[in-house]
Amino acid sequence: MAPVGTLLELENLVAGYGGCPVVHGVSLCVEPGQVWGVLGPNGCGKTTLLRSVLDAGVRMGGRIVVQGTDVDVMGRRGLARALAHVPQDVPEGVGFRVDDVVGQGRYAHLRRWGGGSPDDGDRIVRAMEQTDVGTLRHRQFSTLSSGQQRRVMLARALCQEAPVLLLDEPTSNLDVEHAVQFVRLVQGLAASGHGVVMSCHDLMVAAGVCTHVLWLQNGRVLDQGPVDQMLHSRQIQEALGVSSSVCREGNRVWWSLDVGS
Amino acid sequence: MDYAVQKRGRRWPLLGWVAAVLTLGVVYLAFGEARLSWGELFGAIVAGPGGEGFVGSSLGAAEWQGFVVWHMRLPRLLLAAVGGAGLAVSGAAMQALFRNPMADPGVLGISAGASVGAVAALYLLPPTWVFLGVPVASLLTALAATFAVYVLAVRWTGVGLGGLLLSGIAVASVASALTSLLLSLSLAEWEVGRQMMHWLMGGLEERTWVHVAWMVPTVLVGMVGLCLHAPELDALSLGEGHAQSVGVDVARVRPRVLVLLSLVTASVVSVMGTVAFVGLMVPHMVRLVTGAPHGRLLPASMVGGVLLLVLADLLCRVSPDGALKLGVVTSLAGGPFFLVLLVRYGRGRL
Repeated sequence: MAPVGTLLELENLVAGYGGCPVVHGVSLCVEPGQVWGVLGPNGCGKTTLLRSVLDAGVRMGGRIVVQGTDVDVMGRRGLARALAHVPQDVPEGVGFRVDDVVGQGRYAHLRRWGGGSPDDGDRIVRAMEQTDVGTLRHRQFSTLSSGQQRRVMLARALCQEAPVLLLDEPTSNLDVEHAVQFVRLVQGLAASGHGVVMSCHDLMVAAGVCTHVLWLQNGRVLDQGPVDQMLHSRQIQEALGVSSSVCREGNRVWWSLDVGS
Repeated sequence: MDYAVQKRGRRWPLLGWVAAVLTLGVVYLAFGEARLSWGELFGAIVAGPGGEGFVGSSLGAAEWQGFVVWHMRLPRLLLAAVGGAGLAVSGAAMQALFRNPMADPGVLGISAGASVGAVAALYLLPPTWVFLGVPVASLLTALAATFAVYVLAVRWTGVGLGGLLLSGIAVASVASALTSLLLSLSLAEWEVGRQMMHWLMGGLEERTWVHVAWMVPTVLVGMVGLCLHAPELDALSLGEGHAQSVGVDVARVRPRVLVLLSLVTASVVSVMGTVAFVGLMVPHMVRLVTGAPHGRLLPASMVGGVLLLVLADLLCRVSPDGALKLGVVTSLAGGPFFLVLLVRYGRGRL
């Protein structure tokens, strides 16, 4: 894959539910190799922002351009080949095996009548290995832990082979080992030219993986830019209302939080 | 919970199922009010369909057997088989679409709508028109009821699933009130009331090749259409957001599947009356073997539906005085099954 040019552009995006906007005029440009962390308190519009890219029902204004094409003129399958979204909720998926669920990621690549292609199986296996769920492939999805299910859903998105990934709280429920694995996986994706936008509450993960940060507050952009300018104590205090600091030295991330009264 | 894990390694035993269907079909043709020996049955089948003329006393035994097999049992067998397959497949599709293991074709008001049309046709039409008037009218009212459910739900909540279920309940209750009203109006006329009760209990008595021509093509086309949507149904059973993210056009696929499954169900119900629980029962039994993926679940449900309904109708036909009705048999089996399902659902195993 050799994506050239801007992968995803949000222009003055307004989004919300039932005529009531939750996100007011967000603009964002994702270039290949960039990992954007969308940070902010609960209810600030992170999920709505990510949802609005795929869900025209949530979108209320503004423009979304994926790899140079406006999403409104893209077919759903074409859009899914360009962009994969992993929603925050984990489905029940009763009766599906892990590899069934991951295999659904190939949907957008199915031919209309002829079904899948012969190397779909390899792609599915590779995606499962990338998120360390290969050993679970024959298990029932609904019997897995939430963290395992989250990794299965991520593998499903990787199967789509889309250059843009939108991940809604990808590290919640993950144990530390898998959170670190996730960080490495996303770093690898970025290195191969993917663009990633992820919402996140974990400042350590954000500092570890993001190249850029967008702070949201009440649906408006508080600040956005390269990660090394976005995670100062002053900004965290302003956005999240806590006294905290994050710093990164090489491959180590330090995070401190004042819990005093 | 590992039931599907153990069984799925095996290849789908297609030949076994085809053999089971064929065997049951042959048994179905041989048994009935008149028991044919295997030799007589074979002879009648080989002789081919004779004239469709009136069965008079002038007919010889062989001709009479040919008439029974070709013009009485075979169309009824086809209706039971295709009807069972159709109800089971649309039940499976509906459970995926509504993400509700309890969904069955009754939910969208299809059965209730079909009943209104059938009862109204019996009430209004002269007896000579009833023969085709009932299926035509019940198909129309079934589709009208489904359409009303859909439009109400869209007006109300968008294409939300909760809205569909609730407006389905509302439309079904109005429809069954109308059915009761028509029934009570005709109780004075013994014959009309009797026919209505017959239809409402569901069954395949006195169905002919005309009914086959009316029902089978629509149901076959609808079932193929539903099977082609297997990947979309897989994605939809994880929920709308997750289906959307892999590229399923939910806003288009959902109405399309709804149209297909209402066509299938309404055609079946228009000919055999309300036969409960097939659409609920079969997919759940089949899912224990195939797991939830619809590429396997839908074809297997067809086979299961064929076996269940042909067996149930065979029971009706050999029951003394034809006292057993198809709808009665499936409901008698379905009620307890539903309870078992509820208990298991309560334990989080479904």
